[in-house]
Amino acid sequence: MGTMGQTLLHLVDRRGETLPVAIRLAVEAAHRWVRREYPYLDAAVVAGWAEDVGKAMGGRLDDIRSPYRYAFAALHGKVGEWFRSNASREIPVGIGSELERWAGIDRSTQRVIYRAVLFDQLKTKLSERDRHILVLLQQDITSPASVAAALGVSYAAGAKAIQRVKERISTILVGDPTEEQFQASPHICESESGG
Amino acid sequence: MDLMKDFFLEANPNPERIGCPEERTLRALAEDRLPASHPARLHLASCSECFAEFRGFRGDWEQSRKARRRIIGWAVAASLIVATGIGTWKYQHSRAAQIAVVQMAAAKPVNANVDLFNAGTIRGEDDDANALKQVSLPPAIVKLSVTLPRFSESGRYGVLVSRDKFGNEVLAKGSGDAVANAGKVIVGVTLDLRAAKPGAYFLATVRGSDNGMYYYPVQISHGAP
Repeated sequence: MGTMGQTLLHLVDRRGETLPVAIRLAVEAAHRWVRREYPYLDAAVVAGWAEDVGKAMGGRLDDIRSPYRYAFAALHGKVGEWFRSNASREIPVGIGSELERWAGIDRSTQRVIYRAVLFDQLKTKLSERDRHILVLLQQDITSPASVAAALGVSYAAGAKAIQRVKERISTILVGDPTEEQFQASPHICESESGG
Repeated sequence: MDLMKDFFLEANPNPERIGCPEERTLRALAEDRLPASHPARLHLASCSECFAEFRGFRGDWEQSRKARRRIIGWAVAASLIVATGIGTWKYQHSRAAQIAVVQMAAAKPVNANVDLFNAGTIRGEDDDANALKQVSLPPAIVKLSVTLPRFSESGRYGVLVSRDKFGNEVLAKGSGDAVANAGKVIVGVTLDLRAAKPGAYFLATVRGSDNGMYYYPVQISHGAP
């Protein structure tokens, strides 16, 4: 489990019996994921959630078709629930990636943006193609050629679409980007011009 | 954390899992086993559950890749160490064999002749100005026949090999009777030079109880004389 995988989970059902291997592996995978994705959450709390999920799964063995999918959804749900009920305690480490640096916002800006509002804005203002491009970037598909192939468009159209996404994100986060911001753009993706 | 990652994790709930690809497809996506154009890649933009699972697979895959790289690194290092060890052992083994062969060869007496008939000599400490004629001997048991310098007399002679011309660090010495033959006086001795390392030495001759010892530079080297 790597550096964060030192936590040993006590995965048993409500009667204290060891869970089936498939359930244990699924819960452990989901636990690893949460630890990686939300490193600022208390490790003991996350382990407790994982063990609860394991217990719940142990009581519904016949209903579970995909242990992995169930474990991820359940643990992800617990994380979401925690964020909703502990919003004020959340550490504002959020918007620290290249994207936000490119857009020119700083942490003080982040703090005044409520996630829910921001996400609503993103959903409203980003087109489906924009979201597709962003999700490809999240999959480390960053070259215009690959993005173009994924979208089924020409290289030039792909490159242009990537540029548009940058502009839209910038507009949503801080308003229209300045010329300097464009020129100082870090590699949100492997920008190349031409075809 | 990354804003867009959070956006995709939270903003597109799909609890009914409508249109979701199979678990193994998500795993293949995460492990880069499917092309960029695979339609499941775009599905992740509209399904937070699938995106979460993708992230889970991706993280595990990246960690296992790192671990594999570490293991490969260690394996390469271990292989190098083992190979170096084997190489060193083989080298030492072959060297030992070579030395054994040399020693076996060295155990057989080697005949050598040193002709000092016209040689200049160093006598004692003060005759450095004399011209020296250097001769070579092998590091072996040497049956040495020394033609003594002109005007030498017959009789019992001692012959030795020393590190310097003062007779220090005598490596080997022997004695024999010098006999005159066709105007030259020749003495035969056997010297054990097997322990001698290649280098510069002095061959010394002394007649009977004469105090005067004559030194001649001698080289001990493989392949000599």
